Amino acid sequence: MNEPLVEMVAGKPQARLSPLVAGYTGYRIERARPGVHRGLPSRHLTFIVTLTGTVDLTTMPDPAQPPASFTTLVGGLHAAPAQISHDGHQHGIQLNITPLGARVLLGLPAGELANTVVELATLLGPVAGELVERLRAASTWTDRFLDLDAVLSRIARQRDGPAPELGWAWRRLAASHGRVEVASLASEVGWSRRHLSARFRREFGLTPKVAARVMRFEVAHRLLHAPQRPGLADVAVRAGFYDQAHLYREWRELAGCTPSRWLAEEFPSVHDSAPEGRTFSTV
Amino acid sequence: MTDTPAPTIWPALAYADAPGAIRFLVEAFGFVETLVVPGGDSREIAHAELRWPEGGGVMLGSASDDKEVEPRKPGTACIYVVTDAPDALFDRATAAGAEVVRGLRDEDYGSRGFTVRDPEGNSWSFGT
Repeated sequence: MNEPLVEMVAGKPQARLSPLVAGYTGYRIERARPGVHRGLPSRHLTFIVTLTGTVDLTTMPDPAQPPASFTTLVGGLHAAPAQISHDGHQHGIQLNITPLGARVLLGLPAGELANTVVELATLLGPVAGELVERLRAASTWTDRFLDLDAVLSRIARQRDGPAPELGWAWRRLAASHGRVEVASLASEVGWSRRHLSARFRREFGLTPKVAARVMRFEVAHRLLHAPQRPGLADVAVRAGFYDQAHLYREWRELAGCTPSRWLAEEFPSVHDSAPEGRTFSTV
Repeated sequence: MTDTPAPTIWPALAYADAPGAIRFLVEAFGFVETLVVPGGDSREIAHAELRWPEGGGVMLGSASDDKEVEPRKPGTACIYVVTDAPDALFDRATAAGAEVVRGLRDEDYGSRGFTVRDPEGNSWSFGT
């Protein structure tokens, strides 16, 4: 029984929450080698409830924010890695929240949380404690996902979404996985490039250009994470980088290391920890 | 993580209370959830996948009349699962309330195992 245990469970929220939450991931890792896990930039806000232990952030996406440990957390969009130190044991649920979900579920634009990590209770008040209790009391991931559905449906409020132009620009950029030029995005919206960048950044926390970089990076991340991992040159092309050197530069900047080092450090055993669902997978 | 190859045959089950069934399969038998897709209504599961730690797995969903992959009537499946540890599993399953159909015994063909029913009547046989 000294083998490491890695359990990753993918879940989808119920249909009416799906514009707000891209997916649930339950994770339980035991007896792994202690180390550092990188929290990498993505197009979603991070929402974590631990079931045991804490998430110990030793480096925040914004290094100006001091290190801290969380039993629950919400992290805004970011364009630099966070570092999480762990003792080989991690157990909790992560939700990927969309920028629209930030307004409807958390009550503020994603931009207000950019590059920051806060306790869930800061945003949700007493509901945070109730959620933790329910998730910890449940005995299966299925029940936890259904509890999340119930609590999130209850706190979802009809609130103004982002300005239609911004919502449209985000969806267009995301659908292209960061491949639309900012200039053409601006002309399609009918705003100046400068106006679009400023408003986009205020709403989401990243400029369109940085958001596009994060989305391309995310595609590369997903490809490297896949059970059938393509070669790095292939990953570079498929994620929209000029070449492998460009992919490496972006990884150094957004992940803080090269893709090869990331693979070696995050997956020391051959096995990937990607969720094992046959028909679906999440990032 | 186990080294078993990815399963290529998936028994599919339907349950009136799918979340309850998943709880039972996890607690009584030791199945491991890998994927959960809720349905439209609360407590309804469109599709879930559970892995058997010794290899393979099952799919299940909430019973409804428009199912194409799962059976339409719950409680009619008979499934045989291979295990190296039938004695420990028998204790675990009966402690969790599984209804015993055939107790633990050595078969003349060399297998040791037992058969129980889950709360909705499906028959689960385990053997070496």
